[in-house]
Amino acid sequence: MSLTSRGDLPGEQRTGEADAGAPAVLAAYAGLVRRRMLLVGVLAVLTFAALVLDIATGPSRLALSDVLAVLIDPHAGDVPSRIIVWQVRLPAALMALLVGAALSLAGAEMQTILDNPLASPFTLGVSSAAAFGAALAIVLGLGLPGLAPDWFVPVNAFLFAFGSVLLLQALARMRGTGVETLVLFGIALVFTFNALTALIQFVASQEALQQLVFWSMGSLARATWEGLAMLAVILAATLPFALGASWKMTALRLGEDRARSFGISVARLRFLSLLRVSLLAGTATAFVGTVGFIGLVGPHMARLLVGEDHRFLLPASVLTGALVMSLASVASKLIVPGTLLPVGLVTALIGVPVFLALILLRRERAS
Amino acid sequence: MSGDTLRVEGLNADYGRRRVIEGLDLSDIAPGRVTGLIGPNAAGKTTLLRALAGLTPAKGRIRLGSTELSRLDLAGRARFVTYMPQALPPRSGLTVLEANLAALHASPESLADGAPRGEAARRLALDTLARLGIADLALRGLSELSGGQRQLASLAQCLVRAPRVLLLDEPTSALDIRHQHRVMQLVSEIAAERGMIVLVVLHDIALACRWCRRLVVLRKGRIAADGPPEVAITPELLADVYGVAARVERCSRGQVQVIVDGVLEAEPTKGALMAEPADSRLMAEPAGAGRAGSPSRDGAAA
Repeated sequence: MSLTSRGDLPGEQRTGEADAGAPAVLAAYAGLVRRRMLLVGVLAVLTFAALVLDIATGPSRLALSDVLAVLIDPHAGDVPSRIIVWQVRLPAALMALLVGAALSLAGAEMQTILDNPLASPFTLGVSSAAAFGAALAIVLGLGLPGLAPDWFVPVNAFLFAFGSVLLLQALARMRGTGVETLVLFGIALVFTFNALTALIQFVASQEALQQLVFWSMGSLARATWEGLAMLAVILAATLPFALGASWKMTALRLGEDRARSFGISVARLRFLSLLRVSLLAGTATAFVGTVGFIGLVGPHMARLLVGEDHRFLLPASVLTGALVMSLASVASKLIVPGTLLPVGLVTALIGVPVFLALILLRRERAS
Repeated sequence: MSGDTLRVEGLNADYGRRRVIEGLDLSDIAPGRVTGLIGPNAAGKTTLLRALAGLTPAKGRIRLGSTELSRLDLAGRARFVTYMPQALPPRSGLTVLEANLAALHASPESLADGAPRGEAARRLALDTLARLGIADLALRGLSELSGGQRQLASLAQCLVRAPRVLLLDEPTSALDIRHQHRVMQLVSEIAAERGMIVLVVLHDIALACRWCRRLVVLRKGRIAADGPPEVAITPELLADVYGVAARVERCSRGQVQVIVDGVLEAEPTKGALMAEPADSRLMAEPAGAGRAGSPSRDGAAA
């Protein structure tokens, strides 16, 4: 029996209650938590700076001081400046912020609950479904009866985006369906809706086709205060619930069986999360069209910065998404002077290098 | 309170559409010690553990003392039972300490005494790591650990919840021989310290005999044998359940040793020996016959 006694297996650290190193470890962990909070704070500051830069940038060459003066006091400055700042630039800049935040939060949640780093509203069919809904409105003039035609495009886009997540949802609730199936189903949705949209494009008139192509590139120029308000409400309504589930989502990263054994109803977590995702992605896409990459890259950037503790990952994802989208908006005005490029194109152009830089930096630090 | 035993009556559980556990009864599984669950592949070991944890739907009664676990939902069950899956925790970016905190905070409502918060939670999470001798890994990422370290981190995630019943599904499958014994030793010690019921699925019969005071042998969802290793493990049982020709001997320290001489024909329970040209003597010998000079089961019990 002597072999069972402690210490017969040499080389192990002495076991027992936390030893003398415990305060040091706890202090180091506290430091880690502080560093993450600081990073989230820095992200918030950068995002705000990007927002200001976004408002200050535009083809009309208003001086930064004039822009700030009009922003601080809406009655200051001349009428054109006021209109440019309050009617054109501010809604578009805020829309960039909110759309980036919403898509990135949706992507972060999707990546965790589907346990797939490639999951995002864009890669799993939500954006494609929205584009199909928009195509129905733009080309065929189909929309909900009783609705003003102006609202056909956003409402259709929202309904189809929402519907596609509900479809994923229904599959998730079918017995014995694993997350792999869910991801494959999402990819199937992408192809299906793309094909359907192509079919509509095939029969579309020249003018409608152009409009549809423009819509599917994503543009902040169609931002309105109504749209902004709706997206802000959706974001404000979903974010607290997402944050409330952050420990559960962190635990889910330890594996589904383990999480369930800890008492988490993973099916319920997944259902509620996908519901939030559908609201966020559906609304964001409805107002600006297809914006790829943010939902994929935002969460990855956040993860590289603050790790996978979802108490930090989710807020950081919101901010990285908003930041990248704001910078994309700035770039969309600067790349070709005097021309506003569709922001959806720019998100990929700006998102990829930032993403690669982060990965390379991290690898460098690790080695 | 901690003297409560785990009892199972008339348990039926399915894997997909296949009935895997049928009418299974388990008498009192005692706290403070490790009970081993062994059996061939597809015998229903994992399904039994998952059914006990509430992860697989099952019919029948599961009782812990006077508490009827089978009537509780997942969250209710998690107050008493924690299941450690065979798969190691995924290589996520979480640190070992964070993973423990997540296990603790995942569903505070399903911790028996409520979840400790703040500093108390962090200290408890770290104490659990220290108890397993891996406090120095607290701030390392799960993705940076070796298989053995991840197995211990995985065990810590279960222990930090201080369950009354710990179900371990092949906790040693990814480990070298040293870590296999290390994990079993720690589990035995902690079971005794906490008066915890531990039911562990093992494939290695030698390991099971070494660390388990009681072995439950499953075959096709039913119990083939149940008792201390020296009673439960017999040549007949090994032939019947695993389809191997084996001897059961005692070493000089009195521990049960299983020596496998060959493989019987594919279908266990038929008892016929497989033609094995390399060892014709084995073929001629009836399965399960104790060899001259090797202490038989009776000899061992004496």
